[in-house]
Amino acid sequence: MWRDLLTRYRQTLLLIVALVAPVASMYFHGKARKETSVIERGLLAVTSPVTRVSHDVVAGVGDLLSAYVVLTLVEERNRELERENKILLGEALRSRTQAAELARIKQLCGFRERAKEFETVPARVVGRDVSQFFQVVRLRLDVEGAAGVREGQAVITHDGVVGRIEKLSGNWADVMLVTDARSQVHATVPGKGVVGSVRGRGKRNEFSAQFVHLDDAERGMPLGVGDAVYTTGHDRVFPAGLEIGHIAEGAPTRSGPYYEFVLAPAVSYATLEEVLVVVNYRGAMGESEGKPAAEPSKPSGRRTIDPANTPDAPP
Amino acid sequence: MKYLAWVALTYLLLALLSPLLGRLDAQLYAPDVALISALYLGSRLETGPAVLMAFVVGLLKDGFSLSAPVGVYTEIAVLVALIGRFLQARVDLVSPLPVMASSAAISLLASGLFLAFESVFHRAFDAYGEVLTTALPLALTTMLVSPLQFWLMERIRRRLDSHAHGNLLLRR
Repeated sequence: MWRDLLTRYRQTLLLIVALVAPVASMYFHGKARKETSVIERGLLAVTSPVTRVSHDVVAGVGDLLSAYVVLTLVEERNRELERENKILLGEALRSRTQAAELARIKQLCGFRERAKEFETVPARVVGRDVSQFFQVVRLRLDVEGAAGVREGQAVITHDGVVGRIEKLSGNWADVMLVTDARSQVHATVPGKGVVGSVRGRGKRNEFSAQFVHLDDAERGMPLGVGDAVYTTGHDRVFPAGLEIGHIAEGAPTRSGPYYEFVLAPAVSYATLEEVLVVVNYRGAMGESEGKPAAEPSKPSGRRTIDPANTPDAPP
Repeated sequence: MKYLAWVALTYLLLALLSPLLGRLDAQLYAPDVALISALYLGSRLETGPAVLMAFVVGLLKDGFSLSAPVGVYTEIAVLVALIGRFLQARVDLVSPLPVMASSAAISLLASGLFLAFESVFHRAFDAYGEVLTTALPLALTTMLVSPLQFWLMERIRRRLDSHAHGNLLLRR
């Protein structure tokens, strides 16, 4: 009979238990107690481990995400700084280039002011014909707007002689450097009583000079390394008093009355940007030997040796 | 099997919810996942199994929140399951909007029940203001989460039912 009743009213009984049991539990657990009940212990045992694990998981994922966000922000900031750095580096480089250009132009302008005896026009170096050892053997100039430029005219800078215009076509001019084997410049060493000619060797950054002493009394003053060689103006191409180079090797080769020295050029052709073309120069007829048309940049006639312009310097 | 999966899902959600919302500093806006489970169970099962499952789910919630006397959430879950049974024939508890509306209404009702049970059975209870102020935010967050949880529980039911049906066909 009980079994039939239980089967018939099973759902009702279940409902009553499900509704009454919590109320009883609430009544029991709602009172002030000191000890933990069996139900509470059981619930704690069921829920605590997973609570701890989930707390660790959430904390770990949270830390990972925070680290990722921080790293992303750092990476973004880093990119921004790199971008700014590139811009600043570019600006600094541009400023340095402009400052160097300005200094060169100021020197050229100063030189033009000092050189009253001949007229010059500025030209920009637009190309360098280089040898396989990175030695410049020819320059190309942009002579647009430079009136009076003709073939054979001297090309100089405030540092000294560069060469002469070999070919001219429209706004473009090719310059044969003084180191070219075909080049010849009448030269002297001020205060040493010698005259001679400087010839190119067509190799490396060097040329040679053959000097002859003007009189025996001057032989007591030998030429040495570092002595600057200047133009005399007698070749009617290069004005007098322009530095060609300096003696790079002290021991000369003797050939009859001539002493041949190895010279290093005064001008660094590889870094030339602007030059002056000497126009309207009619030669230094009647000028005394070694008397400069322009003030030489090293009036003492002896210069400090530039290691980059010595024959033994690496290319 | 599906009963076990539903309980496991609720257990997992309850376990994850507390630290997750603690991390986000949003404990006050924790959706009542046990209540949503009870509503779903009431709307999908017969009275007996629905009440039994809601009892287990409520007990789990009691286990995770021991500040209230054990039995408060169990009682609420059982009552919500019965309400779900009642609503099942009257409201379409499949589409998201009815589910959301029902969840929000039942959450507000649950807050009222909680307040009533606490005031009656919990001698040390004095947080009436907190319960009243969090009732609405709790209802809103529960409302927003309910369609997703219904969808998850429905997917579990379909997956396990089809699996059981396949096994039955294989046996025949």
